[in-house]
Amino acid sequence: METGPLLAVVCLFMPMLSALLIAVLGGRMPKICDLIGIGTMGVSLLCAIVLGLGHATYGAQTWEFTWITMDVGWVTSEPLSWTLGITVDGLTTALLLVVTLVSFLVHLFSKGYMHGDDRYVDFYRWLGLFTFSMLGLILSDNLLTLFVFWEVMGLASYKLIGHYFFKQSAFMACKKAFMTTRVGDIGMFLALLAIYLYTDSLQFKEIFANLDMIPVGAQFWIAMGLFMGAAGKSAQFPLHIWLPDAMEGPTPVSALIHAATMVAAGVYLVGRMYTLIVLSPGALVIISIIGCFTALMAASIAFTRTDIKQVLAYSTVSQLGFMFTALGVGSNIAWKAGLFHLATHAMFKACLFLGSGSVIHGCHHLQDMTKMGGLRKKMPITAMTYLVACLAIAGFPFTAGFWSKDMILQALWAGNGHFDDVYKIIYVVLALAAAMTAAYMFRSYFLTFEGKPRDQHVHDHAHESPWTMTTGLIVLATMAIAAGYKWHDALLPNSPGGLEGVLSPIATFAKTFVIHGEGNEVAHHAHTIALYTSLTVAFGGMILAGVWYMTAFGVGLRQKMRAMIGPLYGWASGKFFIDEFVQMVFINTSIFFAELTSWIDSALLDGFVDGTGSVTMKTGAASGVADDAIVDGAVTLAGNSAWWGGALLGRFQSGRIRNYLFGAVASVALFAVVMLYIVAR
Amino acid sequence: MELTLLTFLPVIGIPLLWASKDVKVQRMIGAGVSGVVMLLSIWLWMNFDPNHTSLVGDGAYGFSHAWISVGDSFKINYAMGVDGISLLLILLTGVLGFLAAISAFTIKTKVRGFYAMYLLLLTGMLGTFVAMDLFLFYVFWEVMLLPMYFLIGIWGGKQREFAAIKFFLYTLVGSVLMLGAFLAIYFQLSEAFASPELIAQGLNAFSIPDILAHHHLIFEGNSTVRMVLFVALFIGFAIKVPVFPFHTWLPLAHVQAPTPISVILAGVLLKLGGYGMMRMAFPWFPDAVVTAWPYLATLAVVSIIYGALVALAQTDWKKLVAYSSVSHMGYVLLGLASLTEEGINGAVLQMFSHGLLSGMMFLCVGVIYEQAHHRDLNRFGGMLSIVPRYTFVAMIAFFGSLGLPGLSGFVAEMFVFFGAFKSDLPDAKIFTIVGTIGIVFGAVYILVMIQKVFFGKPKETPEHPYRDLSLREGITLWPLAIMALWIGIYPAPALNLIDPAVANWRRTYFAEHMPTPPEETGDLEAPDELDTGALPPDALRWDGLRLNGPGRDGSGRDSAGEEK
Repeated sequence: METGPLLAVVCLFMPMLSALLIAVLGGRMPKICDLIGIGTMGVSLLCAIVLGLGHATYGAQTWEFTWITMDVGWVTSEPLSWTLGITVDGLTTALLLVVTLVSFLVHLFSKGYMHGDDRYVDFYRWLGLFTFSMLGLILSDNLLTLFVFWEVMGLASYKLIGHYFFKQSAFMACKKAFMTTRVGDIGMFLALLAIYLYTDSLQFKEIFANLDMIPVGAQFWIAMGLFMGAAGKSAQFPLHIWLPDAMEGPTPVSALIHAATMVAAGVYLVGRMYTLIVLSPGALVIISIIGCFTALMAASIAFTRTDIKQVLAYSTVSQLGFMFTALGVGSNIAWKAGLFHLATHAMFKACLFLGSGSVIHGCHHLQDMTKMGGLRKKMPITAMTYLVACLAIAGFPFTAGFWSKDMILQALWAGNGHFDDVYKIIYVVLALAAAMTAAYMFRSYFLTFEGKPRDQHVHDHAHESPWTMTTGLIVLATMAIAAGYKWHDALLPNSPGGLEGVLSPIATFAKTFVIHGEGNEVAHHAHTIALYTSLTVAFGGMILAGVWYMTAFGVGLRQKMRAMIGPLYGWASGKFFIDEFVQMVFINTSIFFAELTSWIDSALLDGFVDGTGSVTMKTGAASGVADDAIVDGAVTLAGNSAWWGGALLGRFQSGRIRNYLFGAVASVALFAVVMLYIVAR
Repeated sequence: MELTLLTFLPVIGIPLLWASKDVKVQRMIGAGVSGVVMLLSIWLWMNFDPNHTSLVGDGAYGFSHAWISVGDSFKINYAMGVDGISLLLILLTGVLGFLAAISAFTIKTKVRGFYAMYLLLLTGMLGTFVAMDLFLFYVFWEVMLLPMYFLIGIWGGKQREFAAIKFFLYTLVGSVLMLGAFLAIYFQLSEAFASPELIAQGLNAFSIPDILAHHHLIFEGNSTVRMVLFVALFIGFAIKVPVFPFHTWLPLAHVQAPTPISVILAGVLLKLGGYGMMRMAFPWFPDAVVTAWPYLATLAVVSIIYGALVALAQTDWKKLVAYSSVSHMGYVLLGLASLTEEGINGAVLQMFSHGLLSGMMFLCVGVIYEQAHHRDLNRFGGMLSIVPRYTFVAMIAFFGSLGLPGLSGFVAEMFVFFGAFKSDLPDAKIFTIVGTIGIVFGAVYILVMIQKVFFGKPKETPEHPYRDLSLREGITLWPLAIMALWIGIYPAPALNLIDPAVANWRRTYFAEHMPTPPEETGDLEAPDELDTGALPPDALRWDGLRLNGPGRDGSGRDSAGEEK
């Protein structure tokens, strides 16, 4: 094994080791399970950093082995091997860094946040298993293990959402999350089946080498299938409904799984399979439209939420929509923009979630923003880091979010030569969503940290969190700015940058696409327009939030505007009633069919069987009667006649010689008479 | 010799039960004998060359001795033999037989009688897997029924007697259909084998390998009769599998049977149906299989979805698990009928995996039922915090059954779907796409059940507080969990065992019946553009295929296997 894969394997198996160690030791030594988790994640993070810094020397490397072999020949033996393995390229390395960093910080944060929890040990065990599967997903060089880790990750997410399993809201949420993503998984699984059918392999390199084996019609459906899986995991309309509910899990889990890493897996999948997906412009534009719609819809719902975690949840849905919108363009820059936004988003969204966790922890498990306010003085570090992350997500210049969002808009404006008008419309809508993002994020900041305390009791008891929690906030807030520069520089081909070595393979990977309509002039033009747009929406949104929530004039204005859009606000605050629709159309129908089939089974099918049995029994009884009366009657009659005859004849058996003698003589006489009669005739 | 020993070892063990009046000793003897059977089955597996696909004669363990003969025409042989497929199922029988015998320690009444019946049942099952003579096969098939009848009828739940009778009669209907088909085939083939060309070979119309090699002689040219015989055999085995709509005996029998017997019933008995299809119904009538494919696939897909839907509506925990068997065994039929390497391998793996996982699920239900004395899902709750060790191992069983990757169920179902999607048979893709809906419903009923039993708060306090997994229960559950994980992560050992046999099976019997020509070189553009119409009919017949297929002179019987 070469150095790259070796480091990656160490990085991959450290969290697994953590889960196993905790499973074995946790029962006896519950105190050290957090140290095991943090320690192993530290090693993983180190491996990822070494891998990142050394990527220039290692380059793209793979390691693989034959998992199984099947003889598929119809005429003679034709062994077909399923090869599995890991691949370490730019994309992998980049995401390894993101995942291990966030996971490490969340492990650390949880030491403070989860302190005193009944299921502290279980929590760390599943956190370890989750990180293992996320890393496995990133490292997979084939769709099979990717799918396996994808599902195992779903299990870990299920367990962690259901951490407070005794609460109804929690166990309903974890079931909903698993089921909704599973619906998406059907699409992904079917795409896997089709890919295997046409290319005889599930390895990325084999698939990409045999793309011409896939017929054009199938390309579209495979792309859609993969996107369906991605939409389930990454919470895109209409499969986004599980993510807000998943906030029932502990806040560090929300930060790690439902903001930074797992929900980005869908984006990663589309990014990884981009070579295949870009073949179908129709699929691309659908991905973009759904992404853009999700971004706008979730942003509008986020305005109506008062629970701080719910705002962040819808914000995550919305930001994931941004990523898909970008990926749906299908050009080099779009690919870079989508994945770049994935990474920057991981940083500032993890920071926001951990910040909200810190607030919740400081306010003794209060999540309602209407009862907060003015917490900045009580929790200065949390407030500062939250502000920085808010600036980043709003797209304030020179933060990470600014660069990635700018790049997304740029990609959209440039388009890909197909459906360019549609992409222009998407551009406008997405810009609106970006403005809304800035506004609702600052709404959450102002409501929580600024203004006057709305609940004095809460305010009095609020306190800043311990160092284990604030460390993560500070690191992530730093990254929310710094990530933009390093990524931005490195991702642009032919430009010098600090970490170019790490990320240049992505650029080379991206350059292999042949995309229509991406001339330099167009790109330059798009760059200028996108820059102005993103600056406008960022400041527009922030100023709007400031006016609305920080000035007396704004409050009245807000009320007026709300009255003006009336029903729309009701729809948004009812989450567009998608949950109710799903409940009514899908869940109730399923339950109805379950009851119906159950009835068919017991009443009709089994009824038929039992009926046959019962008819047989009755026939048996009837024939029993008949048997008694007729058949047996005849037999009895015969028996009885014999008996009566016997009795009758018995009378002759008197024992007296003279009677016998008389009988004998009489018989002989009778015989003689008969004989004579015969002879004489 | 090895197979004879394996088959009759349990029966030999029965007299030992009378060695002691002590119930504990009797239990030890019962478990000990099944343990030896398990070790023997493992030994057989270790010493078997999977590439050897011949069933009798010079096969790894195969043999044939004259047994009963009446005149020259009526010859019954004592013939046994195995290939990779039956060996995997024998291994499953050995393992489950041993573990169920241990879990049967909870049987309190008439222990000696229980183990006597149990060991007889083991012999019946093992004999069915190894018998290579129709008569012998039928004898073992029926030997299996009788002890099962008593085991359910005497040691079962409240409705045990009704359940036992229903089970017995329903499966007897299947047996009768099967017997009818056997006799028809026997009498017709006896004539065919007596023809001048074949008489010199001394073929026997009761011998399964001889029938396999000359399957095309069964009512040659009369496709209607062949179809009728196929349907009779198919239904006979479908009742055992069970395939919708022949499954209604199963929930009652499973629910009423005591835990160890539910394990054997779901774990091994159902597999006999699948095994019978692979050994008899399918390869004897490959033309009928290809013709009947739309119906077979429909039944399979309906079984998958229907079983899951009905399971969702259950409130009896054991009944839910029972219906999950209907759903999971649907995958077996879908995989087999797809006639692709992936699909058939998946079907066999699914049989093995279902044996492990449904065995585990029944054991898990049994652990709680023993303490709670009810199985009403709406009365449980919060088990996660009450019995954490139990929860952990139960989660492996239930999530394995749900098809979670990393556990055996996923690998098997995945191969089935890959095979069915790849199949060249008409509308295979549509059937597969519909079948994948089963993935969702399969998850629904498991998750709803987990939520009701393990999450939330306890709904009622039991008389005695629940105790966590005991050592004995752990011993029965963990080996299965480890095997499920092993197959789920690295199925190669199991797959290497069955793959040569499956490939040979497919090539020998089905290659000439497939609707599209076999793709020898990769020069065709894309598989979906293949069109039989564009090729002359002769293109379907390749010289190589004729060599590998069953030659009309019977000489090419095992050539495909030997060629490797």
